Amino acid sequence: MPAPQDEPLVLPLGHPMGPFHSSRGEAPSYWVVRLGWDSPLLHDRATADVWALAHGLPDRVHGTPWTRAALRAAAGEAGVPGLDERLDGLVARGLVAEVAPGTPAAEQFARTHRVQSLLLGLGAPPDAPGADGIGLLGRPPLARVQPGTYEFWQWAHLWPTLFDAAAGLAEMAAATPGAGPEETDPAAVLDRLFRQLHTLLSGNAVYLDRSLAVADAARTSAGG
Amino acid sequence: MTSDAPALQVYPIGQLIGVRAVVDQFDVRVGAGLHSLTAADFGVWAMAHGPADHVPRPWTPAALAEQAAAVGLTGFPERLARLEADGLVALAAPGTPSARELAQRVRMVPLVVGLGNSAQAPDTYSVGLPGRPLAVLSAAAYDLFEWAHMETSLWRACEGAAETAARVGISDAQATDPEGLLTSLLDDLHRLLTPNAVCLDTWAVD
Repeated sequence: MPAPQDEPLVLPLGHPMGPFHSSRGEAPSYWVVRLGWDSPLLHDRATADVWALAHGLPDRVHGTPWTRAALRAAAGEAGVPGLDERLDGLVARGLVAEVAPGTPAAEQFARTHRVQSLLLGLGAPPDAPGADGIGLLGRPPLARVQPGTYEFWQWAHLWPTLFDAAAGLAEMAAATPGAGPEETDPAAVLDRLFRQLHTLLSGNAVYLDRSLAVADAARTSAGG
Repeated sequence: MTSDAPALQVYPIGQLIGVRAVVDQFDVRVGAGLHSLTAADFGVWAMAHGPADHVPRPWTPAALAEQAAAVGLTGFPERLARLEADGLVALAAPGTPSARELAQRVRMVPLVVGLGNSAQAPDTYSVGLPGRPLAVLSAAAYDLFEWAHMETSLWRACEGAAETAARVGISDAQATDPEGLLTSLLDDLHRLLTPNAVCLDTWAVD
């Protein structure tokens, strides 16, 4: 099993639903995220910017683990104020999770959250085998990812949780002749998925959500 | 059927998840199944998403055949029949039992993000990618874009949206009638399918 990563990754949760303007000519009243059966609101632009930056910058996420430090640097360059305070607030509201791959907390996160794929699979261009594109037809890919990450994008959303997806993908790999332990050990697969997530998140190729079981429980609890 | 009856329209089902054009292979996922199509069959499936000229009109098999002929795609009727038999397209007429039947066996799943409304047009909502809107929707359609995939079928989503509208006191009969919501959505769905803002999927349909 890979060694735990010291600094947690910053993972945004939810499907973006954009700004809401209550009347013509007015600035946005708030920004909306759909998360499980809830639609939490982000009440100021800087907080919405921090949540958006938590998805990662496409030109950095391949070489830089998207941690609070990476996010702080990106926010500083973008002129977004109060990063730590706003990020703490988002974490407290369940709109961002800080997850260190390989830890028990990462496994708990994986057991309670799922991934949803967006966009289309464009495959690898002839001039760049091994770098599969995800995007829309007729446009340059919005994400270029390793084959294992592409497979995750293709299929992981069919499982109820990230944990189940890692186990399922490991089982699929085990049926492939010549697959190594890094592909057939569910814990190793989950660890790799976490470390590659921002290559998908930063291009809006996936979003993370509560598992349906968690979402339904929260809905029942709120309704009751 | 009278001339006033709603026309059967073609709706694609599935998500493109892989292209290997050099070996003439286009992979479409429907539920947990993978369908590898040739370029010609993929061409028909892609055309089923809506008019290439983006002029809204009922996307009937005849309209689709015309577009296929315009690009020199041969064997259209057989290809469409095969796609339908394989569950990659469905024929339904909005406002008729065939529409309800389709809505009960698919979910509508977003493929892009919501971009909200704007200061210039607060009554309409865009979906697409940041800085790149792909379709503009009414508030009711945007609501379905946001929530429909959480339900176990598109029909359940229309029922849920109608229940919510009634609960919050919306008096518009169109918004509180699931049949009306579904008809309105299916009448206009190709405008969302053409830019791949949503897809229809059979996964997790209950």
